[in-house]
Amino acid sequence: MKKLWLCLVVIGVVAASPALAEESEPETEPPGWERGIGSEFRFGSYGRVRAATDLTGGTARPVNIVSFGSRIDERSYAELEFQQRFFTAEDSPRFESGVVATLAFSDELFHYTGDFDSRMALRNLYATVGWHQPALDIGLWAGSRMYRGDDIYLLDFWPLDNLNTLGGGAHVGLDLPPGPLVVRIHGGVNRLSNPYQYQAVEVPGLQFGTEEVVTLDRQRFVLSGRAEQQLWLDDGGRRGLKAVLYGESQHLPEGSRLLDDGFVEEVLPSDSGWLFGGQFGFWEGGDGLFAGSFANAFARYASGLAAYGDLGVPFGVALDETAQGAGDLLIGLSATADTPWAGLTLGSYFRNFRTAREVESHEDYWESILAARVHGYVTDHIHPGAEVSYQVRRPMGPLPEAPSYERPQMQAPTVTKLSLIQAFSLEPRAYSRPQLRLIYSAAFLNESALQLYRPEDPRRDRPVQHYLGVMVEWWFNSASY
Amino acid sequence: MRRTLRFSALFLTALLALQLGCFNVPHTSAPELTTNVDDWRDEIIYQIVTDRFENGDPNLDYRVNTNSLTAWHGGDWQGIINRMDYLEELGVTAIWISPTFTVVEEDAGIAGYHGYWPQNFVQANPHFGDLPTLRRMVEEAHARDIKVIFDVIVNHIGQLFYYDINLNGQPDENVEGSGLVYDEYGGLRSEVIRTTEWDPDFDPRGIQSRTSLGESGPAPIIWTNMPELNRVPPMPEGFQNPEWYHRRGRVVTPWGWEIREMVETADFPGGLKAINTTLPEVRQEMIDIWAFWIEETNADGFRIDTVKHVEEDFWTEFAPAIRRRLAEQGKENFLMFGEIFDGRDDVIGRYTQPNSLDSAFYFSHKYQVFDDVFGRGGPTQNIENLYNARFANYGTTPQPNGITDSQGQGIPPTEALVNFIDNHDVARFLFEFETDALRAALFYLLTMDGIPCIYYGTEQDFDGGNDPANRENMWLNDGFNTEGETFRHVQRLTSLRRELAPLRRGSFDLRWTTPRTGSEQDAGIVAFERTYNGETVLVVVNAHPTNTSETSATSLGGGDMPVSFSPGTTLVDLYADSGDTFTVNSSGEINISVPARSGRILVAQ
Repeated sequence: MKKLWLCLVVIGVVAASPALAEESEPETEPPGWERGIGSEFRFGSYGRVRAATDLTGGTARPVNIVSFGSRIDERSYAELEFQQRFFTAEDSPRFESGVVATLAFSDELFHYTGDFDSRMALRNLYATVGWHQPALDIGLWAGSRMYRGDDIYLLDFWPLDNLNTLGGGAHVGLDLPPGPLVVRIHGGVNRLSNPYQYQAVEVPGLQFGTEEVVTLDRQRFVLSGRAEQQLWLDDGGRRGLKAVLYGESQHLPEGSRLLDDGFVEEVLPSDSGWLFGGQFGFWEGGDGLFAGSFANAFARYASGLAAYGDLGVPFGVALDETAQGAGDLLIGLSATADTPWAGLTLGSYFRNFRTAREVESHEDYWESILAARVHGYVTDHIHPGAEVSYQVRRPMGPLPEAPSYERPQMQAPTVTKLSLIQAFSLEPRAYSRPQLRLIYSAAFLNESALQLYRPEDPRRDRPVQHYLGVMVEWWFNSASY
Repeated sequence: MRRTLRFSALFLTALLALQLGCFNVPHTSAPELTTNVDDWRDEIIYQIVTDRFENGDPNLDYRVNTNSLTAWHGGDWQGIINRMDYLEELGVTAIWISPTFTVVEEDAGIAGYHGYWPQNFVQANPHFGDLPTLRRMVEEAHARDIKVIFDVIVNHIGQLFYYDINLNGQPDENVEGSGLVYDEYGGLRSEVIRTTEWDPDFDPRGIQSRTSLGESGPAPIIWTNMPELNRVPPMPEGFQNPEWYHRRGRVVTPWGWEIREMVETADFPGGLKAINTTLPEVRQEMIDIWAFWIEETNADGFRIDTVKHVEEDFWTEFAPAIRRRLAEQGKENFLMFGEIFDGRDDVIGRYTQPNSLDSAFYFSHKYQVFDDVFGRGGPTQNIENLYNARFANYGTTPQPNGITDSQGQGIPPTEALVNFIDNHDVARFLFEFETDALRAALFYLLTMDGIPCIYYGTEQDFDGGNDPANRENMWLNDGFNTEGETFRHVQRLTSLRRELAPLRRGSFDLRWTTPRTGSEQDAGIVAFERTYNGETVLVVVNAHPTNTSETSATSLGGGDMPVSFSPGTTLVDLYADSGDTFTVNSSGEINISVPARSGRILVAQ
């Protein structure tokens, strides 16, 4: 039913296109044209599909012990994006509006599982309006949206701003002499289908049977603001620097829910949190020697509820059952140095996460990863490469399994991955997509990393885990990247 | 571009430096073991059912239902840390907490909140916290000079396997026969036999498999696989060896309790599978496991569960090995006292003989003195009778390397019995008896010899009946009130016990007991002197429910109570606010009157 609804939405978006409307009623000219309104339909997509074995006859699974590990062995995922834009004919000021709908599909593909089914989510469903002038750009949006900035590609991670909310926002862009300044604000809500925010219970119906009564429904309010100032180092903005300031706050009202016995009411206290961070970046575009190169450094600190993310449910809470006292410090780096002969991509972060517990436990940790991928452009289309990554997670307390009964001291879990890649793509560029890859990767786990698997998991006995497979990745026309 | 590369290199160097830093996980190293006890007789133990005492960490509230006394309530080690002030204010000096290891979550709709259903002997119970929290609890207790006693189980594991009697690979409950009598065959009955493969009746040969064709040899055991209830094979892995269990089925109650073989080798009611503690490898594993808990936490003693269900010679191997291993690491004066849940004094005392345990939970005293005398108003002569039997039934010599006094002299089990009024396995005293009877019992408990043990909530007048009603939730029942009369009574007595060394370490010389329980002059009186380093305290308690009584039998043709104090000595009552005084007469006797169900603690003025 849900899928049908989603399909109808997509069909509805497409059907709303004046071009299609024109086809269905060719004799009637859309009224908009009379007033000089144009439209454009765009299909975009991000996707990656892989077929891989772990060389023991099973599915190769990602081997990561940090929150955002190397993506060399990540699972399949795809987004299909549909955009319809409307715009006035005048160049200045020009008014635009549009609708974006993005369907996302998770790993379980029919040709692998044999199940004529998929797990999907509507990751974007929003509309925009905007006014564009040469030196001023104003826009509004409302709906359901992924809302995020720059990523660390090798880790598939958005370290600074990455929100998923129902809400709306605005942006103002100014073309200033050093480069554009863009300020964005946003407000949204979520209400997770989780007893932390939502509970519905069955009660006796008015006459027979039962009715469902919602006993807990508390929304998380998320507000964010972002300012990005670019400093162009040439006339066209092909080279430049940028600085980003980002802030976020989250608020959750008090609520109450019934415990399992259905009689005792448990009060869930109100909670809040904030996040503040910044980014400094450099890019080199155009067609110079390092065209396509860039570097972004990130730093942020989140406190309280915000330390768990906008879709997170706090764990390791304080005695008053709030997230107050939790903290998440992160510094990260994403960089690519691209030349006509070879490309080097780096991704790394260090993160120190503390729950709200007064006392540190295994749920508190610091973690870090460094990943580097290099491709040589043997020809325009054949790009052999390699990736090396090292990740470590240091919990601040031992795992509940008594490690010291068998081992005198527990080392921090680490994973080292060495990978060989044969890539094929259209251009000798680090981010030329689609890109087809043949990958062999070996992940080396230390004893502590192996202990993270439950004893029943056969991977616990595999200090070296293999990945051999083929993967293809693409993106085009996507509003989300 | 070059500048950017330089910045990137700097950044990466910083990250690498962080990544290559110290990688050992903190809190994995064990604390240094220390001896924290001068003399165990100085201590006042407070028994805590961890799940019911205080909820200090809401993150551990898994499967909690405070509406049910057989469900988890959420108490934990952090909760105990949070209530250290309360314990100090009450005046207790040692805590005995519920078993620390991981247990079966639930069996037959009843949770393992009490901690006595082992699944993993070496993993901290996640409902209570993790190992670092347990260590911190011990540290916090030691910082306040409060000792910590862990609860030990070697007798059994939880309900983790069934006997596949009919060999069909699933746990069954079979009923055979109809109970009908067939008159035409001379009144032959079709006997009804009910067999549960979870808990079959004891068979000295070991549980046998059988089908309709007859027996088929020993029944295999099948491990449960219910991860949602943590009913999975036990740990450490050695316990997954079927040979490590007696596999003889459940003790047949009630008569089975009288047969020692059954007591020691049968499964405990409720399907708790008896471990074969006769095997040397099992014994060594148990020594390793229980030494591990102390080595990891620096706790100070063991209360040992179901002692009589394990063969005696196990204890004479286990106890010396534990003492030796801990002493080598710096921990001496380590108390091990056993639970021998039995009213027979000689049975209890059996486990305090040379090379065995330091002490025992004094069940016979609970029944014959606290219940019969203080609860039911029975003759105080019971006290004297039981006291006299003590030297025949219990070990009279100190255990080698066992507990000692502050001078390093060993303390024999006869002087270190753990006295209690009630505990988690019996109905609370107030369930059956009155509050003033409890206060009189507490008066005696905290002045007699040995080591007193107070069950949590006693000071709050909890009155629950048998298990689980006697395991009330403290924090939901206003359990930390420090203004209540019983709380203040205990507080006053613990204070005096700390203040007066004879009450802790002194000899125990009975001066007066009586067979009389009616309206006689001395009915209900028990009096004793306790002397230490030349200082004597005289304690007089009246267990009579209604009458003021005296340490005198003059109305019966006798005299007053002889005491060791010199004639003319005036004794003052330290317990009573009035400071009542009494004088020893020229014959060296004294007549002290005591109101019903109260007592006096007297010292020379």
